[in-house]
Order: sequence, then C-alpha cells, then structure tokens
Amino acid sequence: MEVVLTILKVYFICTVLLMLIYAVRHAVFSYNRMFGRQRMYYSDIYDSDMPTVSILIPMHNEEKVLSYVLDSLLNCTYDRDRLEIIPINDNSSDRTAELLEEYHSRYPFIRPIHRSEGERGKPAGLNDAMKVARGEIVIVFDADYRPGKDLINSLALAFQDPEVGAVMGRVIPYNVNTNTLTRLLNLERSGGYQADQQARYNLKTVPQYGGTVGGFRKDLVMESGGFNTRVLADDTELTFRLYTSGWKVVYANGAECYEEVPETWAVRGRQVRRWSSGHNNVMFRYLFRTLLTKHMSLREKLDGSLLLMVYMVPFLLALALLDSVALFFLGEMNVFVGWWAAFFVGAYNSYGNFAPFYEIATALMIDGIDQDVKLLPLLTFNFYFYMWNIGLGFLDAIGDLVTHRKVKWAKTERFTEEKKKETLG
Amino acid sequence: MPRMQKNQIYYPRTYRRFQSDYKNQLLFLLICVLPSLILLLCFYPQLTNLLSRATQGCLSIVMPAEGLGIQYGEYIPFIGGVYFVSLPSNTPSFSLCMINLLVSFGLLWFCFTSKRKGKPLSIYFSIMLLIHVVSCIYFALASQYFPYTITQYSELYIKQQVGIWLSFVVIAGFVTGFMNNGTLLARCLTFFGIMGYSLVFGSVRYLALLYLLSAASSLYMPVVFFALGPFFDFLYLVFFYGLFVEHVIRRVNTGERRAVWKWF
Repeated sequence: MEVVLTILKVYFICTVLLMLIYAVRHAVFSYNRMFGRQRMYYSDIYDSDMPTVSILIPMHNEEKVLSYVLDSLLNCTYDRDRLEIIPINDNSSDRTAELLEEYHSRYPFIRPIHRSEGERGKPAGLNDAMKVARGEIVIVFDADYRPGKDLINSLALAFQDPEVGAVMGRVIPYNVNTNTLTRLLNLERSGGYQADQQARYNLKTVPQYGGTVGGFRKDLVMESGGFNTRVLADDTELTFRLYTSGWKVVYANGAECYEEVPETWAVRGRQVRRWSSGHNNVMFRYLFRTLLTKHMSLREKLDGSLLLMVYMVPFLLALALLDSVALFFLGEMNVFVGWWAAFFVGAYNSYGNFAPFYEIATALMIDGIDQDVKLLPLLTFNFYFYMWNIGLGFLDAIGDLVTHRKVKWAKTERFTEEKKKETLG
Repeated sequence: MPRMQKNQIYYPRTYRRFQSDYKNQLLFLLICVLPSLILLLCFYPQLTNLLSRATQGCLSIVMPAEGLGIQYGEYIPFIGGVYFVSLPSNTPSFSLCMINLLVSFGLLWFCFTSKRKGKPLSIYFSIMLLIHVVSCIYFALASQYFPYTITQYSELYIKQQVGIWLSFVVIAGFVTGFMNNGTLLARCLTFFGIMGYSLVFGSVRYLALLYLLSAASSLYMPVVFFALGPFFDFLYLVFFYGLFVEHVIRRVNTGERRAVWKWF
C-alpha cells in the first residue's frame, strides 16, 4: 500500500512540475509578445522574380463553401502567370465536381483533380495534387477559408529566404458573432496566433506550420516521400520533418486569412479529438528525433518538445485528477494542503486554467479587441472540455500506435449553408 | 505641408508592442505586491483566528455552541500555524447514501443526454457527479473507514485557503503588474479587488461548507472539495483580470494614448 501511495504522490508532484514548466513557457511568450522586440516578417522584400505557386485546396463535399475560397483567390493580386489553383475533389458525392468544372471552364488556371479511388483523406489528396502541380511552392487552404487579396504574395515572399522550408499565416474566424462558442474560439485563435505563434517566431523557437493558410517548398516534401497518409496531423508532422532536417518554419502575422470555426460543441469536440490524435501520433514519431537531431538549437529542441507534448498534457491532467481523487479517499488529502499548497494551486491553475488567459489577454490587448474580454472566465470550463476530448484523442493515438490501424479521416462540418437556409426561411 | 509626427501614426496590430514601464512596474511591486505578501505571511495566523471566530459565531446561531471550538494546526515552518473551527462530524445514513446515489445517476443521465452531452458544463458536472457517486458507494459500504472528520476537513480547508491567498498575491501581482500597460491606479484597484474578493469569498465559502457538511453530512465532503475548490477562485480572478484588460484595451486605443504603442 505504501508503494502505491508513493507512486500516486510522485505522479501528482510530477504533474504539478510539468504544469509549472508550461506556465513559465506561456508567461515567457506573453511577455515577449507584449514588450519584446518583434521579429519582422519579409514584408519589405520586393522581388519581381517571385516563385511559381500552386494552391492546393482539399475538398470533400464542399459545394456549400467552395465558391467563397475560389472567388477570394481569384481576387488575389499574385501574378496569374505564376499561379495555379488545384482544388482536390476527394470522393465528393454532392455538386463539388460539377461546380469545380464550371470554374475550370471559366478560369483555365483553376485545374481541379477528381479522386474517386485510392486512399482518402487530406495527405493522400495533397500527394496526388503535388504530382501534377507545376509550382515550386505549394500553398494550402481549407475549403472554408477566405484569403485576402495580398495573402499569396505575403506567404510566397518567405521563400526568398533559402533557410525557410515552410511558412504559416494567421487564421481569424469570420463567424465570430454566431454564438458563445464561436466567440470563445475567436479568443483562443487570437491567443494562439497573435501571442503564441508570433512569440515563437520572435524567440526563434518552433513556429508551427498549421496545414492551411501556409505553404512549403514542394520539392522538399516530394523528395522525402510526400505526406504520410497514416498521420492525421500532416501539419505538425511537416513542421518537425522540416526542423529535424535543418529547415525553418516562419510565421507571417500580417498574412491574415478568414475561416469558419465550429458553431457547435459536438463539432468542436470531434475536431480537437482528431487534432489530439494526429498530434500525439506525431509526438510518438518525432519526440526523440527532435531531442537528438543536430539540426535544431537547444532552444528549438526545448520548445519543440513541449510543443509536441502539448496534446498529451490534458490526458496527464485527467490522470492527475483521478490520482487526486484516489489520494483523497485514501486519506492523503494533506498532499494538497501542506506548506507547498500555494505552489500546487498556482501551478495547477496556471497551466490547467490560467495560462491561456494571460496569453489570450495579451493577444487581445495587442489586437485592441475589447468585445469579448468578459468571456475570459468561461474559458475556465473549457479546461474540462479539452481535457475530455483531447484525452480521448490521446487514447485514439495510442490505439493507432498499438494496432497499426489505418487512421480514419473526417471533415469538420460546415455551417455556411445552414445560415443561408435560415436567412431564406 | 506640416511634417507628420511619428506618434501620430496609428500602428498596425501585426507587430506593435508596448514599451515596458519599469518604473510603474517596480512601484506596483513595492507598494502592492511585496507589502501584501509580507503582511499575509506575517499575519495569516491572526487572519485565520479572526475568520474562525467569526465562523464559529455564525455557526453557533444554527447549531449547539458546545460542539463548536477553535483549534490550532501547524502550517508553514518557522512562520506560523493556522486556526480553524472544530465541530462534530455527521456520518450519513445508508438510506441517504442510496438516495444520493440514485439522484447522482439521474443527474448523470441528464448530463449525458440530448444537446447537453459533451458541452463544457455537462463534462464539469459529470466529473463532479462521478466523484459524488464514489463518495456514496464509499459511505454506503465502508463509512467507518472514511479518513476525515469535519474538523479535519476544516483544518485542510483553511490551509488550502491560505495557500490560495498566498498564490493569488503572486499570480494577481504578476498578471496585473507585468503583463499589460495599465495605469498604476488601475493595477492597484484590480490587485486589491482580487485580494479583497478572495478574502470575502474564501470566508463565506468556509462558513457555507462547514454548515453544509455539519447539517447535511460528510457525504458531500469529496464533491465540495473538488467542485468548489481553487477552480472557483480562478473564475473570479479571471473575471477581475478581464475587466482590467478591457480597461487597458480601451485606454490604449483612444486619443493620444495610442502613442504608447512602440514602433516595432
């Protein structure tokens, strides 16, 4: 019994220490973004010899939204002689194929590919599209995104730097005012990009390529075998593949693109569960590689490792909650209230609940958005929501690892059409 | 054409940042955070004594005064212990455990069905209900082995509360003092608002929980420990902080104050 109690207590203390590490990391990012010297993007470079760009847009039953992304891209200022748009129609059963062919007939540089056999999912689709893509640079958008006029130019500029393997832009929700969830997601996105990504870019750690509103050198990915179709988080996988082979990912804070965020908790729950599963899958593959590679600095290794583990932490916290319940019923409640209780409470709430708040608040101050600041306390309850769904995603990843089963791709549901119907109704 | 002043340029959000106001930050640290921390460390035994006496007085209105007392327990070495209210325990009956168990299952079903399923509040309540289910089973089958009396809970609560106050001085001091560009007055108001509310909330909660446990029974001890602990303290901390951030945003985005933004 003593051994069990010791294990439970040690686990508890280790979790507290882990949370403290993340709390410090978030604090450093927030402080850096707020007061630190900002690292400029490549905005001032003028180059008449821009690279050829292929824009890939994976689509599966996207008839509701595809016109928005394609029309936005048609308004982009990038030289059309150096641009092609490849919508990837992946086994759609709605009017996606028909609509894409209509666009193709009007704009020949929109060259859809239609996939009706072979492996399904985003990585497989991207791999097929890259085989026919003519551009040196591939930029990826999801079908529900609405890029601004100058976005392609902003993203493509980064590749003038020979060290850059991938670039990531900033994602901003456009359906913010729909309900409380979308408002909360807007706060999270703000913290994630304006504070977190920009600070990582400033500090030269590991800004993350996010799989959409971002681009990469096509040759790099093709030479290393394309995207792994067994990995759900192709974005995280590419980030670490690049870093561990000596390339950098940069973040373009000014390259803003608008997206639709989930409007129901069920959809959001499934989305983060998928992200968690994919991200943890990448963690299993890359954690040791990240620690051992010669291509990353100590700072990059440290931040990269913490970034890789970020979707495992909620699962560890869920275990810590079970651990603390067990300690309570075993009469060891004093583990919470010794003289170091202050330490515990601070640590638990810093990572478990509080870290996102000061990071989000930092981003809101920088962005100058005071609209939904009062919703910050509601994010406290999201802690349990994420602990549950991300924890399940972690278990999915373990299942994938043990059984070597094929990962199942699923698309995040869209809400645009429902809005139209509601308006018409 | 008059030459444009640099501070008349409204900087874009992409790369703007604040200029560190070390003077204000240091002043805030010296007049608010450090004195509060030192005062709390020096006087928390007296504070808990005061709180315990007040709680004892209130509880004596609704329960026999002879069962109530004040005890002393060791806390931080070399600094001091804490005072807490002692009161008789109230073990739940088997039937109360069963009723609670059934109600908990009913509420769990409620949380897991319809549109409520998977929402943050449902998940939070489900976790707390599951803890209560464990408590019901524990008391129904082995109540004699339950490791705590209400007096022990009272001691642990006070120790945890002092821990929360100490950590809140540090955390509130950090976020209001260093992670923004607010005025010294706004920082002080927010800091003392958080600490003042924390003192009142922690005291009222102590009284309410002791009354609940002594009137209802120890059956509810686990769930109140996990559901109404530091989690709720952070709700109001973040609320106060949110108000402060809103003030900072409005302040730095209007009129001349926009010049506080540092150029890249």
